[in-house]
Amino acid sequence: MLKCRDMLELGTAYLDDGLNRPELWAVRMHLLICPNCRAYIQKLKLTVNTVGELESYRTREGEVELILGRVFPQAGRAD
Amino acid sequence: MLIVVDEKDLIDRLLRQERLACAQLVRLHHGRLRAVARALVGDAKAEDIVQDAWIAAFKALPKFEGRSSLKTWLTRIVLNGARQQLRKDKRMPTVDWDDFSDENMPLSERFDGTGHWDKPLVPWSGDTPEELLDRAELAGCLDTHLQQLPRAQRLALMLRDQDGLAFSEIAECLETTEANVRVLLHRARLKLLGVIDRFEEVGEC
Repeated sequence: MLKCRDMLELGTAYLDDGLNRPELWAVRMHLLICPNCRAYIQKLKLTVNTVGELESYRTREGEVELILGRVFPQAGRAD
Repeated sequence: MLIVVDEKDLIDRLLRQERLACAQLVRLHHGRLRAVARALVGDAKAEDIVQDAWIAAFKALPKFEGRSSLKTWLTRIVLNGARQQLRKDKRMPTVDWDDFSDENMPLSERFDGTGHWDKPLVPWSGDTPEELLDRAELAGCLDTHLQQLPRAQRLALMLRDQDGLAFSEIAECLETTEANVRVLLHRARLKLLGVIDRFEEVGEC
């Protein structure tokens, strides 16, 4: 039987289909009986989705014109 | 049909070279693409690589088949450019020992002697990214901690969770195995989970 400590390490593999069939079965069985590990997996999943929504790397003012000027040198400024 | 309707509409407008659509695409992705290039080749060369990638992308756009999102496709073009630059410089995208270190990992101290949680996990105040990121402070806090991750962990997280690349592509990019990418990604995710946990608990970064 898996312990909760094992589940801590298996979280990403579980969410990203990285477990083989016996491992997946063991994780699912553990999740059925362990509310804390269900909460942990839910938090990990929400962390992944939240990181995906971060707007960490804003395009700086002026860069758009610079890039378009290089891509379409023959054209005028963007609208 | 693999591309979403909005993106298909954008692609149609891009193919007609509508300037507003082209500007929208660059505005949406340039900052992120530069961050990926920076993490691989450093500040000095990142800008040129991303500019060249944009030229290549607009040229190749008529051949874009929509098998992935535009975001993922653009990231791949930047990665190719960055890897060519590394080869030219005879450098490798090294993964350091620090990247695999699991010291002070969040939650690792939360188990009792039998390997089970020592106390119940407290739920967060929101169930969706929108609810969590509604607090600008938390978004800023996550940004800060993301930048502080070891380079290979940061790249694994950006390329997988923000850009949607496959593990095999990330492994190729970092010149390591898929298993190692999963370890790097898990370390990065757990650290950011710890950041949210702490913010939820004490209300500050």
